[in-house]
Amino acid sequence: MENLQLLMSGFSVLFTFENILLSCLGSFLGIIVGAMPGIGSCAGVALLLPMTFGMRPTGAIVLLCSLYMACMFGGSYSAILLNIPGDSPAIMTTMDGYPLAQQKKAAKALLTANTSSFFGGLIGMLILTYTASGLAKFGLRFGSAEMTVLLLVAMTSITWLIGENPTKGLIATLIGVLLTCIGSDVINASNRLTFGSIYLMGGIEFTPLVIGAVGFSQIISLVTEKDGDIVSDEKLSMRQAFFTLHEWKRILPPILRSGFIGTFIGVLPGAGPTTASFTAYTLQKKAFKNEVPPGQGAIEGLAACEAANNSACAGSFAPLLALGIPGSATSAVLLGGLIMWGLTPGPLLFTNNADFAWGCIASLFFANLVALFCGLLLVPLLSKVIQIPSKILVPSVTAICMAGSYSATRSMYGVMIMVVAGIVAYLLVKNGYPLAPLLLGFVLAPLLEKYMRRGFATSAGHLSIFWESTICKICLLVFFIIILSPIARRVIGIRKQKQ
Amino acid sequence: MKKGLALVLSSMLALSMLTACGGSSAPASSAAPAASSAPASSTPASEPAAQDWKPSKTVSIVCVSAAGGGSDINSRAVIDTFGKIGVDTSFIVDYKNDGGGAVGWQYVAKSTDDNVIMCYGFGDTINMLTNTDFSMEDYRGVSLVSAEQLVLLSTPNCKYKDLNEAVEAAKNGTVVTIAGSGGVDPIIYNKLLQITGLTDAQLSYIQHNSTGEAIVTMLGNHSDFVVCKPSSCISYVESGELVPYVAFQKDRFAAPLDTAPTIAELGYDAIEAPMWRGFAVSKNMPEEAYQYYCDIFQKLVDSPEWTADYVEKYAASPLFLIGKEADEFMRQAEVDFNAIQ
Repeated sequence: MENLQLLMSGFSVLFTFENILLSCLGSFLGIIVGAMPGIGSCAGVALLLPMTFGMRPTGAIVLLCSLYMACMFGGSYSAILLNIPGDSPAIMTTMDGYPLAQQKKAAKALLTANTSSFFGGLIGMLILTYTASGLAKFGLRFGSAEMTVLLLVAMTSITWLIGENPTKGLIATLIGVLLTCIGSDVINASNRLTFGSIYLMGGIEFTPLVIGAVGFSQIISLVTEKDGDIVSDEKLSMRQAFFTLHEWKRILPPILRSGFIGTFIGVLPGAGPTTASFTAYTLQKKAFKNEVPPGQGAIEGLAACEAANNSACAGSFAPLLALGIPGSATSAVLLGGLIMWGLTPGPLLFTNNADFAWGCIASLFFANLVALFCGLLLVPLLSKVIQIPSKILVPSVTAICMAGSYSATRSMYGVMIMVVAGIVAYLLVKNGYPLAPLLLGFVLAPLLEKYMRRGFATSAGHLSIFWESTICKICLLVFFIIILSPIARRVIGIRKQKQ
Repeated sequence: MKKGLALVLSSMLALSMLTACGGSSAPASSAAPAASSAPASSTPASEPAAQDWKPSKTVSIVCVSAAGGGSDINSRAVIDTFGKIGVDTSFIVDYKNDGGGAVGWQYVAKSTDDNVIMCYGFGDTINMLTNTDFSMEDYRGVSLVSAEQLVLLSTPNCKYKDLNEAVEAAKNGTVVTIAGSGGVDPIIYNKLLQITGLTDAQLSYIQHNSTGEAIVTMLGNHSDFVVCKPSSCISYVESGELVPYVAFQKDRFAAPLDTAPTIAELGYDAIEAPMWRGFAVSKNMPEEAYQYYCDIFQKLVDSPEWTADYVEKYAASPLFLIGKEADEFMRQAEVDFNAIQ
């Protein structure tokens, strides 16, 4: 109850003319930044941060938090309409969002994404409001050993994305894992597979890789397999996009589940909206009912990943505000901003700067609403994108891919990664190799390596650290259940047949 | 209806751009009146200034670390203070952290422009010498503007009441762990091994990507100790989440870190690994441009604003060197680092 009163005081701080306009501006910019491939919330916040130094801290954080929250909305638009994720959390949005657009249901996909983002973010923010400090402390319980075992569980979800040919799926996964070996070693900083290149010392950048693998390969496919066709001549309107009661029943359960999952993943060290959206999508695909097979335009899958990435965004504020520890790359930039505005991030922020902290949380609520409103208004405007013929779309999207890749690395290195990734991904997909496990392996493998090696450093090489704590024991149990259950089912099936 | 609503929204957004740009403090790119001549310096630094020369373009401060980190904050604080003290030049922070910073180092080393300077600290020295072929032979030091010593901390429920008890436990077979990030943290760890006579198997170092990650590990009680700079941990000490154990410098820190004894008070040889921060330029920079930057950084370190808004705020030490002295200090730091490798 007390937290609710404090939230209301946060709203009173938010509801000034200046702060409302700043929130609207941040939300609008966030949608644009999120929709532009290669920029993303981290770059958007970093670019806007210097402009806030002359502002009051509350106004500055309102602007930047609104931008961060709205980026999660914007990332889904290019993912759905062009099959190019606007930022890394929107990768899984392409899995079902783009197939829906190809089925002349782009309006439905956009509305599903917007609605799920709104409710997912709302769930995350409500949890943040009532348990920010407890949530942050829960995240602290996950040390290197706990994160290792949890990531092992997450790695098993790759099996759900492998597709019909396990061998090819495994090869794709291993390609993703191998790519993460390039660069500086996470512990001792020695160079691995850099071939003397200073660019490769930083490893393969994720954003241009995704833009290339998902977006540019799509362009190559359009060029080689279509000839100037209009992708869709659907004229979008809000009326067509409205959900039926049955569709609400389909998307609400994944939204609720993914909202909670995403919030807790957002709190964990090293995880963030990308990991949350991957986890929620694979869980929805494998463990829960989908009316349409995932990957063929299932609104359940789309709702799951969009709800998760927005709730993870809210969840990442828990360690930032409660402990002064950034829960994601974007919140790390916000942390720098807090210091420059004269605040002291840390456990005393809620005590010493309550107006600021609760104003920040209130701004997330408001930005969530404004971003939804802007998103709904943009649906008819976005219809023009899918009416563009391929012969105009291809060079335009290629230019967007190049600009996005360049902006991600501020050099042609990003563009080179994008082009190579696009060509390789096109060839892989053409020969039946799935991309999702490659990308998931690329996301999870470096985290797993980092935490496992830290775990061994902590225990001086003893394996026992990975089953000492209660969290480790629970995660290991889940891991073995997932690994052994297909074998157990097969054995039981064979026995029944014999009987 | 929709067009009208869109028009109203657009107008509100346009209006917000006017209100959002309002603010009382000076912007980063200062347009203040021309700077007064540099005050007399207590640290004779360089030849007389070429006062007529000024950058014709915006000056880029190349930062090879990620946005939001210590180098970024330092660079922005410098820009902010330049604005307050009337330096009539525009600055921007240019992030070039690809290749672990190698791209940024290469960019500055090969630059012949007079408007490119680089934020350069001891952490950069370590990474540069460890992973690349670049060194101070490619650059020229302009200034040192601050230095931070290190402190060892733990949580209130640490099983060791002081470092001596932890060392004793390590000698008796218990593995004691210290969490830290890169840069100077491993240096103080190695020095600690030397003075305590422990091996890395007895006193284990857990490397993290950043001080924030190391503190997270400590707060979750996944390590026995954490080593970091005072600026990173003061808020946690004030809230009681962390307790200072050892100050790695000659004197005790100011409150709230004053409860930590120095390493010498615990009976060991005094060791320190100051994390100094400064700025450097390419060795190709024209002399008049180099002198200009030396002058403005001299103004910076002489100003009370810098001491109050950065040095004291982040519990740093006022290690101020300009021009030739800064250059020699940076080169000596390289020699010292190579000697312990």
